[in-house]
Amino acid sequence: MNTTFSLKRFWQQIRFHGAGSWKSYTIAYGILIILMVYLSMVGGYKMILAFYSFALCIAGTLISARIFRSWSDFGNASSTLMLPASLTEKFSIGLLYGLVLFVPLFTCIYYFSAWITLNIFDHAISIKEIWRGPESLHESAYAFFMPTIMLFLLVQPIALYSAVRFRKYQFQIMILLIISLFVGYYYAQHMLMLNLTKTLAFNYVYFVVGDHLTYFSVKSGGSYTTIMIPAIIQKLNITMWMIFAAGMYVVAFLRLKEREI
Amino acid sequence: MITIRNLDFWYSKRENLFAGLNLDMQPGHIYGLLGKNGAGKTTLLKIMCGLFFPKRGEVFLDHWIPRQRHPGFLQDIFLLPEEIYIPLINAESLVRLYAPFYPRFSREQFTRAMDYFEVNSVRKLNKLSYGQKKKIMIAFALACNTRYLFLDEPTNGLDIPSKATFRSLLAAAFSEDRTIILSTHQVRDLQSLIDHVLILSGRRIMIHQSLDFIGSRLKFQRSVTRTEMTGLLYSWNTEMGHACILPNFDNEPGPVDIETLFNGALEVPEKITHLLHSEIPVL
Repeated sequence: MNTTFSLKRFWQQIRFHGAGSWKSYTIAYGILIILMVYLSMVGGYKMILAFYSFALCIAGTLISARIFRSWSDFGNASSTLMLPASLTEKFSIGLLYGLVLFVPLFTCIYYFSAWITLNIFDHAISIKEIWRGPESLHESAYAFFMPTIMLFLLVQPIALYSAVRFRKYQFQIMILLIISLFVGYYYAQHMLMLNLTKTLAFNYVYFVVGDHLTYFSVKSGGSYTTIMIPAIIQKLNITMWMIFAAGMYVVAFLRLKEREI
Repeated sequence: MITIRNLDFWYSKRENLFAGLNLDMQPGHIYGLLGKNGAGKTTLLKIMCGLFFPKRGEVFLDHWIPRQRHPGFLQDIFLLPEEIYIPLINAESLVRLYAPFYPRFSREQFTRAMDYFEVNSVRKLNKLSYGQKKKIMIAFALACNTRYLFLDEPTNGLDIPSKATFRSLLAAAFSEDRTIILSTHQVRDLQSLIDHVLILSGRRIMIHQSLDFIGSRLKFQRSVTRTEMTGLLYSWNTEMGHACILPNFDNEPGPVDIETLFNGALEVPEKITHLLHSEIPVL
């Protein structure tokens, strides 16, 4: 018997989880479609463009937290832990439904909402334009989607970790952890940039997460100056986040292994 | 075989639930796990299933270490907790989707149990009453044919005819390679099934004996008054007179009244355990 990963058992789990949860997924995705169409009606397509990153992270985190809550929820945890499947398979189910299937599905919903908006409310914009995003902000679809996916890859393991580590207030703890992480990161970056740009007299630094964290803007008085982030720091940024995300997935996995009800 | 050695377990470090608990359980028996509320019956079952980890000591089910939750181990054990979790599917889908995880699952056995229980297998499980859900999960648990079957308060929520059905189904599902543990407060419901009694009290196993052995050492009698009894160890008032425990000086094992045994073991533990652990009953 394969004790780490069996495709047969994994497929059984996919079916079992899907059959028990399809209704809640349908409701969740239905709400997302309605929300996106509504937002694009109110604020135009730019609104859902801005909404994409935000909603992907929020909805993705909520869905992941919900899947992994079955490990903490008192009634549910016994049956989840006692299900004859390996830990890797159980963990992979969370990743499959919360990441691998979620991101493409969410993106399809995003374009579906955009399509509805274009055909019904706003004929002036082409779907291609939506795909690429506003020229001023994004050079390509890659530049638009990748930072969002990366951001989600950072947020999701925190959701997983909170769901398996804590018995109570998992959602509140998760929000607190995410906020602390980003505030901490931005503060560290801010201090770093302050030191790198000592010669400039400025009172505020803000970063654009998009475009691979390649530049930041410095506000001095009333004007902004764009400064390219040194290549080494760009690489460090990406590497650090990747290591952090991978580390969080590993920690969440190990916590799951030691999970009691 | 279940082997527990020097098990310590606590929820709070200030109060040990189990301290140095030792236990051996053999296949081919139906164990009745008894204890007062909070004695640790459910916790012990969950430790054996790998849902709680021992703080100290070792637990083995054959060669498996439960806390590792190996898929092979999980295929061979089924715990039906008192509070059952029900997926949002019907009984048919439950079998179609959940049964493949258990290699020895018998669909025929499940269908037969469902028929005996007269449960609707088309309606979604969450739309059924607690008793109906329990019947479906009992039918499923029995049909899995796992070598270890742990049932926590299995008769809670069952109507009177269903309790009898449950007894006959469990008796039919029992085999020499299975170890069945019934944790219960409803001993009268399950008296006829149990062949070994485990009484948990004071952080340890107070009694762990077969009913045959207990019946050979202790005599259970009912009487209108207590005064006529010689060597009376314990008695309590029931609606049908006094239920009494006496030493058994006959060489024949007699029937055991588990409820009276349990009450006696908690009220006069020294007298009861002394007789059970001594070579021959003495006055």
